[in-house]
Amino acid sequence: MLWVRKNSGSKEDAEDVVQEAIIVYLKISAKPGFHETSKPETLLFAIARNIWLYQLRQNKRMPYTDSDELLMIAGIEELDIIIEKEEQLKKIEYILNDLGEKCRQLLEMFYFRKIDMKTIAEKLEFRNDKVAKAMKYKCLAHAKELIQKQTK
Amino acid sequence: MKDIESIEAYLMNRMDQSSRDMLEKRLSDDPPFKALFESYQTTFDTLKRQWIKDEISGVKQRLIYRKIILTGIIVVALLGSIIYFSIDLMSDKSATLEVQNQVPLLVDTAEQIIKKDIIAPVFTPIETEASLSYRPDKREPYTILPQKDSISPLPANQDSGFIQSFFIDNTIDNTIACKGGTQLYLKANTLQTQSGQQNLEKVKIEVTEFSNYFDMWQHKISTTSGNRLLESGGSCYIKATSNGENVLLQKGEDYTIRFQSAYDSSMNTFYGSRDTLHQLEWQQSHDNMTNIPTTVSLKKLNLTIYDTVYYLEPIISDEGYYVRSNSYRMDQISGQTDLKAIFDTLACMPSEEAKKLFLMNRNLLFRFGVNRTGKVYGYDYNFILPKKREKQLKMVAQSIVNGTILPIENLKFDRAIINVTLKPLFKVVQKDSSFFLDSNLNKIKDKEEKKQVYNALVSSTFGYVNCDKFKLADKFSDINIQMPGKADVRVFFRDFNAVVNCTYVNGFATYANVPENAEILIVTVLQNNMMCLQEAKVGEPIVLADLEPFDLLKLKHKLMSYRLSL
Repeated sequence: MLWVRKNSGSKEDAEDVVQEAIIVYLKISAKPGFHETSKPETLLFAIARNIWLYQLRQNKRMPYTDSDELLMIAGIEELDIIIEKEEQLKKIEYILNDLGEKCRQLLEMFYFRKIDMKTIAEKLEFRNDKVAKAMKYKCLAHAKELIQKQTK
Repeated sequence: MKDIESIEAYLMNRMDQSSRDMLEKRLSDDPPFKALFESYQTTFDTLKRQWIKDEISGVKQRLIYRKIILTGIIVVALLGSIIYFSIDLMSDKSATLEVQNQVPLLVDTAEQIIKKDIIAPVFTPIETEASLSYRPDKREPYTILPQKDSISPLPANQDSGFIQSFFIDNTIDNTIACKGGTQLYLKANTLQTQSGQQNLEKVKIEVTEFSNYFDMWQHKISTTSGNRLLESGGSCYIKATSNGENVLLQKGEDYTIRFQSAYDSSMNTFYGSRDTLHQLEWQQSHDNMTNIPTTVSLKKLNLTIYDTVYYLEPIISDEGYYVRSNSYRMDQISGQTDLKAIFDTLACMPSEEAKKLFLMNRNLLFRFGVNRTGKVYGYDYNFILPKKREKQLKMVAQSIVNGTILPIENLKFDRAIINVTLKPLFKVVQKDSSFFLDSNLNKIKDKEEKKQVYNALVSSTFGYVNCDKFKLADKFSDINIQMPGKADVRVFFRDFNAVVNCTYVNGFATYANVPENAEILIVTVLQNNMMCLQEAKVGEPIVLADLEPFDLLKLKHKLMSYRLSL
């Protein structure tokens, strides 16, 4: 992304920023009441730009070579808060590697892929959907515990 | 368990509106439930983040495979084989989640952004000859040359906003206080018109202050005398008239100018004159005018404590707002951009102590809190603005609110001071900064009234007046900037107040005898509406870097942030 590279960023920085922008975009678009007022690429660019400005500010890689105002995107007033939050989550996401493969699969299938408990129980070879459901809560509690430990 | 189920349903958008409303109300009424909710929300967000990342890398991989296979198909087709493989690697039968369908499209868009440098429409530069020069894919050797031998002065209307006019009665003593802090003390019955008329009751005094680098750039002010570099303690241009006739000082009379800079006994009076090329040259006063210290009382600071927010409230004295010697006067500058300039400067400060000193010197007290990940999470602002600029005040306030990551909690206008308290993003409030220790706060509270000593010159003439000294250094060197042609090249020094206009000699913009290794900002403006802002050090080879379309606001921002006040 030219803009990031023009503003003290490498190609890797640009790719990282774009990946982060996609994550933020998906989170924003999943929010209830989200109405897309501009094209996805426009919004993606605006988000990516704000992320890079945020990172520059955090890493003190000043000054910018472009106007340094954060972009205000119509209807997404809390964008900067989301970016800040994502940047924090980025630091702790690795700890989910300690969750265990089966737990990760279970949580991913239920929360992300929205597969029903019965199918999950079959795929992951639990005795039945009730066992899978109990296991899901255990895994979620474990994930919460790991994250809390990290953020304390 | 019931709580967890309802949190889960809420976070997965599986709750009807009335249940959502109930849960949201409970969040505001029930702190333990809110804490539980937030811990699950963070867990969900972290999990979701990782899944999205996995999904993105999966889709990227599939895109790469697709490209390889499509390339293969084209090659085969060229060889005359009509083979068609129906490949639809994008479809994923198990995809039932709400975001999964968006990911390939987004990754594809993102890939385009990365690979083809597509810039969203709002930022697409106009495709002019000038803009092409900074597009890496279309960059050509720089060949744009200025059309004329010298840069013409800025349009006259650019100057008009900087001239401050005062009407005085010269039959009494007068003190004139200018916006940038310069003050003129004129004794009674010391003026006369060019034709010799005295006892003037109505004299118009016009003052143009050069209080910062942007002012100096605008007015083409340099600080040199006979090819020697001067360090400035402040300068201005003064004109006096009465009924349209020029007014002078009577023979043997003088007046005093007090600049807003700390007293330095080695500073002297310099008078300026412009040559036919509009270049300003300073000459030390032959009248042996000396710099005399003037003392101004600084009122005791009031410390106001609002719960966890501390700030210093300046007391307005008869002479204006005096808290520290270099109060950051927002009336000299435009709000938003220059507030950012402060942030930029702040970010470059080498230590926390330096930051505090910087802020205190500008009557800016910021509070920085640090969260568990070591990130700054909150700020408090307190700065001075003149009351008459209420519109600007509101704009600045709004820009603060919009320009930060934090929601506004409290905003009020109190006399001429804008107080903005921003709510921390997190509830954690740490007062770990030693600056906020009670002992330190008490020190401020009990601070005695102080006096600040300023530079003040005695002058026997109006016109360009400067408080200067010759710059001394262990070793001098030359500035040589490789240039494709003539241009307006001005060099600003970071560590002391000095500006030079470079001259064009054999492919170089040059200026001789300046302190070696001094940090400089080179401002180059070309006739074709292009500019270049470049930082460098004296003595090192300098080649003109990326050119960009001339942008006055950006130039102002850069100059103001390079050295905030003189």
